[in-house]
Amino acid sequence: MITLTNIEKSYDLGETKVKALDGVSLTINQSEYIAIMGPSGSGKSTLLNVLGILDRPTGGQYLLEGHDITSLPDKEQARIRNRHFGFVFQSFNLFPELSALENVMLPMSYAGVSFAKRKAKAGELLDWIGLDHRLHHLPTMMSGGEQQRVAIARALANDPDLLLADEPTGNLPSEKGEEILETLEDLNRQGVTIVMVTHNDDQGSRAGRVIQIQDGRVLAAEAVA
Amino acid sequence: MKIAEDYKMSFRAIRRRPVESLLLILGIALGIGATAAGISMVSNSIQERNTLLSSTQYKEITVQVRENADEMELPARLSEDGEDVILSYTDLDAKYDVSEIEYAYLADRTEFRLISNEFGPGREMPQGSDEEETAVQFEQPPEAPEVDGPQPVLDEVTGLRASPEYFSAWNLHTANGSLFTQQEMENDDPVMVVGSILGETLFEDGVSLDRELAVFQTIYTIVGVLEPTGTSIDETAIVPAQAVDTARLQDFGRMMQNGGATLHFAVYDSDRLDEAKAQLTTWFEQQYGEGQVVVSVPREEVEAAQDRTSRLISVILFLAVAGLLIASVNVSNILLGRAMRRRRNVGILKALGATVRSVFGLFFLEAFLIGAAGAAVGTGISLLISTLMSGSGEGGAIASLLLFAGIFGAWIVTTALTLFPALQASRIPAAQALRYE
Repeated sequence: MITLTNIEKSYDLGETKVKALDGVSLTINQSEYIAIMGPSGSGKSTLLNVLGILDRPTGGQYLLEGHDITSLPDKEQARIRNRHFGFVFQSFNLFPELSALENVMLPMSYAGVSFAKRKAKAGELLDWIGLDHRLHHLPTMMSGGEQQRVAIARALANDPDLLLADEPTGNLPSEKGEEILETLEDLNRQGVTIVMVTHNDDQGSRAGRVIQIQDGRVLAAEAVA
Repeated sequence: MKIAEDYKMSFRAIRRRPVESLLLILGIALGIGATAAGISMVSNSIQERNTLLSSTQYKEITVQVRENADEMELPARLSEDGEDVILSYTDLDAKYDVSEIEYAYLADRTEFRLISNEFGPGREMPQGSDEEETAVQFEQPPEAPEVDGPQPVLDEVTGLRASPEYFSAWNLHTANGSLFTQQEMENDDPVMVVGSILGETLFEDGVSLDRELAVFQTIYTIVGVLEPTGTSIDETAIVPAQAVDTARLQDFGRMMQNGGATLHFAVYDSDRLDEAKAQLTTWFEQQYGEGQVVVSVPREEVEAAQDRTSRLISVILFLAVAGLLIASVNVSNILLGRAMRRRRNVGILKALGATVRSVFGLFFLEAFLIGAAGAAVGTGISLLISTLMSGSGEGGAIASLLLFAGIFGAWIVTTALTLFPALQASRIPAAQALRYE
């Protein structure tokens, strides 16, 4: 599905050049459940951003379904993010001005889905995730766990091939975190590829494969027994 | 495609910071209001100037024996080598020697003290008047004529002594009766033509035509009532100017407060006023010698006064536009700050599939809505200023089309300046925006 070859990402900090990713090569197959682990500042989030085309690598090759997408124009990259990827963030990142339903509808609006269809689909997703009673609530009126479930519903709005989750349980109590993990595992069983950044070894051990990263380099990409 | 969500997000973003949004709207409104009012003031001033200068009197050159009519004592005389200079009807012949002259007439403003049988000599003065003062100002002739029949209800009217050409020059026509003729003027016939309002108010029953009116020693017959003009002529009584008759002029001198024989020459084209003035000056100098008559162009003084007003209004407009620009830059700054505070939202939008253009559109929509609200309030302010200016009688009524053109123009300026923050917001890289806390 995705092949990264010798990906580099560096930042210029004045006269200093910091390499966030240093020759990362890896392959992500369809329906995999991958955990990216490593210490703080190791480059996990940068790798996730590069995978989600939120950040352009400064070197290397990124193939999505065999197509090099690193040099695509902004509009085309936005279309790929919208149709193929779903994002779940540690701090939920819902729009506070929009209700749960409207937050979930938003990615579909960029895909050109009609208002009626996106409203129906958003309702179904929130119902599936157990928030049918919270459709018209603003994020500020919901708990952290509920907000993260809305964020997952939003990530699933356009039926993505790949769900990128950056420490999705990081801001949640363990009980609620467990619910989120179960939801992600459920999605993976349904065929959605999951790439999750986590610090938590237990969470990592529940993935199909763990990619250990340090100083911008992949130390190991091992399948979990 | 996503209009509904965009509008909701923009509206709610505006609502989330009500005080900030209100200040933004108010800033824009004041800028737009002031600019629209300023533009309209300039336009109004130009329009008034054009209307005023298109009036017959501003195509004219006047010739008097003295520059300041207030200082004149009648009969109007100046001496040269022991001879009196009296301008008269015959001096209108100058028009035949100056090609630019369209018409010429003689006209002098005056006040007519009407003698009613009720207020004649030996009768009581009107109640509340200062007897001594009135006696000085309006010394009654020893043998005031009496008029049989209806008496005027007014005791004083604005008058004009004019030659018959005055009527054609000012395009005046009678509604009833007729105008006086050159023959009547030369015969010194005591006839009078009155304006439409004066015709209705001079006598109690509202009828003036063919009525007689005593003015000092003369009994005039009203031979015509003019059609309404909407000007001061409607309240004026016009009698024939005098031909050269010094004895009569001395007699009239007692009646004429500002008098003096003033000749009026109007040109075909106001651009040729200077040339015509030079030719007339030469003509009168040949007749009476250098410096004996004053040839003046009333338009010059009006133009000078209006130029001063225009400059003042231009300064006001400049300040208003400067205010608008300052307000717009301020709005732009606040919107930029607003956008930067929400840069994380930009990252999320991009993660969800928004293009640079979509993000720009969203932020611009928010600025546009604030601008629209400001324009709406600014329109109210402009209309308020317009109404106040009209009510104050300062001639500041704002033409509605121009008012809205001004508002629209000012709104465009404001909106243009809000492009910048929207553009800046849309260009924030997604990953960098997402890292923002």
